[in-house]
Amino acid sequence: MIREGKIGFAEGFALLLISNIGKVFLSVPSNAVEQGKTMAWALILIVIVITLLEFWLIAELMKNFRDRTIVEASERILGPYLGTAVNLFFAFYFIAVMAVLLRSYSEAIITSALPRTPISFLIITLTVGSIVSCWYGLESIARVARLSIPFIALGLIILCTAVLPEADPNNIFPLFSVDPVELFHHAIARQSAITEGLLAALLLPAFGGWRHFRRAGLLAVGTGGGLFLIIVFILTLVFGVQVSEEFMLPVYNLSRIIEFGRFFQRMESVFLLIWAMVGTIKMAVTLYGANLVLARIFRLPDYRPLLWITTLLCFSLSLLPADLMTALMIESDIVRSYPGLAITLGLPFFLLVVAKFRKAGGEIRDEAK
Amino acid sequence: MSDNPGVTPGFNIFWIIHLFMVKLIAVMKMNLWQMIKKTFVYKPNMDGEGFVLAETPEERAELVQDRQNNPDQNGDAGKEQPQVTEEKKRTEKRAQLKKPFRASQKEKTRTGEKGQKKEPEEDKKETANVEEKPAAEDNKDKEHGRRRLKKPLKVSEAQEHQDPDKVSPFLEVNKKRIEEIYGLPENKDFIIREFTIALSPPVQAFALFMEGLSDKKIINQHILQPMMLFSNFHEVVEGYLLDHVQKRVLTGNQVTAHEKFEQIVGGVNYGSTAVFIDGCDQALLMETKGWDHRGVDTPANEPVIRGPQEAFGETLRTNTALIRKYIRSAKLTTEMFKVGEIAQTDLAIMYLRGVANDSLVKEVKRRIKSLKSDAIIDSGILEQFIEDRPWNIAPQVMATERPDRVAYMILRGKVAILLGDNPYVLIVPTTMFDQLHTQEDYYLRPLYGSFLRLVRALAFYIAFLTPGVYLSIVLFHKEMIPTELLLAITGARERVPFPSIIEVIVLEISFEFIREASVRIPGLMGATIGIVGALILGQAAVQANIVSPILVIVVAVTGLASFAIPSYSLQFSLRIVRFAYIVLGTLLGFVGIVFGLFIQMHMMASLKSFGVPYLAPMSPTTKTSGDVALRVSVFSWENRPDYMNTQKQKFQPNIARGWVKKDSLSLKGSNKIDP
Repeated sequence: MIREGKIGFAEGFALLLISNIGKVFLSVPSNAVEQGKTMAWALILIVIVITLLEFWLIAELMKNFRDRTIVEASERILGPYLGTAVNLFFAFYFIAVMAVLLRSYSEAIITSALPRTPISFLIITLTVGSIVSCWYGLESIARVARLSIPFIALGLIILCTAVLPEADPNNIFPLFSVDPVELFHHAIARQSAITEGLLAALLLPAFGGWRHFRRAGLLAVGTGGGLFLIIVFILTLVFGVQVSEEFMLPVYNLSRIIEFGRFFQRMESVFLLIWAMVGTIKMAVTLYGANLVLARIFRLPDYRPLLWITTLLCFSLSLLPADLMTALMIESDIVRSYPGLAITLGLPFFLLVVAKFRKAGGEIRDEAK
Repeated sequence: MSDNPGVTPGFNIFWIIHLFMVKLIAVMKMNLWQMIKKTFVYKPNMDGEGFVLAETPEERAELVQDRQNNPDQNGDAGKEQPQVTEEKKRTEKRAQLKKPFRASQKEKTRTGEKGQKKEPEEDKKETANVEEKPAAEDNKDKEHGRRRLKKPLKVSEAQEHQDPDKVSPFLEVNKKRIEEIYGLPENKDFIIREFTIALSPPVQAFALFMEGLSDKKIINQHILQPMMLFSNFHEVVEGYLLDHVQKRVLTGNQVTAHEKFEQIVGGVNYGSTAVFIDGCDQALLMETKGWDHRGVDTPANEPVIRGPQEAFGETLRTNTALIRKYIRSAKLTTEMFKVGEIAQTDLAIMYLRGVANDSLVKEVKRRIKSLKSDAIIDSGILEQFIEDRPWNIAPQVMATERPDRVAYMILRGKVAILLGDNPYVLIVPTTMFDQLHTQEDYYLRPLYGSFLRLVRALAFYIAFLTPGVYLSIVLFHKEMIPTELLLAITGARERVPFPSIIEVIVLEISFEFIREASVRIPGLMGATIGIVGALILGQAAVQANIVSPILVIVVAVTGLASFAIPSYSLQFSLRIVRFAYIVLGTLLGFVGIVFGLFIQMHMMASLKSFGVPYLAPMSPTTKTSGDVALRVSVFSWENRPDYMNTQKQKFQPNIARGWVKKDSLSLKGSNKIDP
């Protein structure tokens, strides 16, 4: 079967964390402020709990399939036909996420740094990056993620501390502005679809142990959520709700206001290095996920031949939305909303229920170690 | 000599009686002349007529096998020649016999015909030894007299049947064979010195050595002089002549007897002297190496301020000794190999037995043994032969000229590869961080060492990113530049007619010219070219408005930073990727830089040097020994690097400074704190 290599705890954690924080650099924090108003922090807290539950659910599902991926697990649980159908949903979800990411990041780069560059050129660049990364394989992606973590952490720490002088505590008030039920609804419907659970379940054999996998995943999702919370909180403090919800790239806007004396101003380009790095890694790992699911469905010994096909598919899909607004709408209404949630949370939950039910029948008891 | 295989213990009593009877008859027949004559021959079953041993059953079986395997060649070989007495014809025939593939066929049959590739000479010897061992062990306790008698052959037959690979008891035959092998007398490097050993009666002999590689003084004083003048100190030659000469006449420190020309020629080609003695079917090989070479000098390319000031030279054995000077342990193992089918260069690997990972040592040996080339003359070529990915930009083998560095790496569990007569020693495996360290980091106090490493880490990034980042900022991210600086840059650039990219490329290429020229130019002019290139050219270019002054600063800082990288190979890789970043920065600004970094990180992350990930211990993350980006104090290096998977993990105990513990106790005692 596919030789994925082995990744250690640190690499696995870094990979999932970077995958998780990819959204923070796009318009998601602004959406959160838009939905949660001054209670955006509470919204994110709910999101953290839900995403942790989501990951825990997938971890529970994978508990009985410790040396397999979710692809084999769903085939075992639901049988070859239904299982393959579920797996195809997973693959399409990864492809959709990849296409959206390609478009969002390209648009973000155009907005922030390269206004006159054609979008196709940027998408091609990002695509080539992802292809090369996937070509090198999981070990390399995970190691690159691990290598990037210190730089990303440093950049985020500088960002968060440097904008603090601009923070106005009054922006957080009124504390309870949104109905908790509505908040809960937003948290579930708009913010809780994450790919990390599925991704981790795909990489389980490479993790070297289910416990590593669960620990790294929960920690990554938790840390990513924490970072999301901090960014949203700082965003609200610095810009206030009204301004924040208008931003397309809130982190970029935060980095624009950084000033260290007269000399160091307009440092957003430096932070561009960080979020572009996060973006490329996130895209690489998503593309890898898509290929891996397909390769495992088709029982291919190597996923690399599929790389060109899936990449071309993602490339074409990413260019389909007519404009940025359409792309953002697709992202928030489909990929990150109920359809996305149905795939990332609903299907694994369904699988878990069926697995428990059938396990009671004793059919897959032998899977557990 | 294990020429009596097949003698089983069951035959012992019969043999003893039989041989005793034969011996008795022989002694009864013996006169003085025969006794002296007998001393000249090596084999106990030789008489005055002169003959060689008939082949043993094993050899016969081997020959048969040989003929079956190679009917064409062996048809020739086996074909009985008519009794032609011309020596020339015989030598021609023997020259035909001595074809490499025949030897390999022999090897094949010996090693079981598994279609294995031909092993280097060392291995052959080993295999041969393994073959001969049981027989040798069987006969170990037996006297020569008890050996199996062989069928005597006539001289002419002996010459015909003489294996061209082996030394003949006839001096003339050997001489002809040597002339054949070396193409004498056209080949002027090899000297045959004929002389007479002063025994009574005198024995003819000749010495063979190579002009230039051997020390004439040793040959004169320790071979010719004792053989020609002092060999008759003991009037009666006891035992065999060869043993007598080896043990009582030749005064050299390394004298060995060989029966195969292959071994003898190998030795002579590397400066030893071979002595062929009439009547002996072995030749003595005495170590007389001695050629002009550079002494131990100061390191030219890896200088340090604090630390030893000696570097490897061009002599393999001096180099191994230089390392051994630092590690005086019996566990330090040196294994020798030969590389290059024609060049037969010596190659040594050194490692600490019981510390270095076994599979690492095995892998190093496997790669070295598998090399098939006529010659590998430099460690740089060897490096390309053994590295994992030759087309990856990062160097995967460390080359150093510092013995202290090699010793330190060996102590950490790495393997050193020394190629004969080469002043650079290769160390495997290596990591990216090793390439950024210098040995001086360890000799300085931890704060200083760490500071140096930080400076170097900064230099590492500056060396390949600065021109690309400069272009990105100037072309895409102008808002980053503070207004005053922007005005200064724009003002300077105002009169330059070229776009920034052309400006950068022109200056970078000029800088590369200066760098390359200053290496290639003869020594005396080196400094001049630096001044001409760097100062005058730069100044003139600025004044002529070809380049802007700020760019000269950018390129100069980049160049300086690249010189701060200690590894020459890593410097190269950074010099090359710098151009990639220039292009990427021009095309896409910081996005291009990120793209480049992303790809470069993948190239590094996917790399392995002899099984060790290139970016260890950072990625994959392993336990660090406090010796990566910074450096902890020397007493905190408790463990060897985790990624090396050494057999012995501990380098020193947790409390390496025993006095700390002791002093605190004595302090307590003296203050009477304890009740």
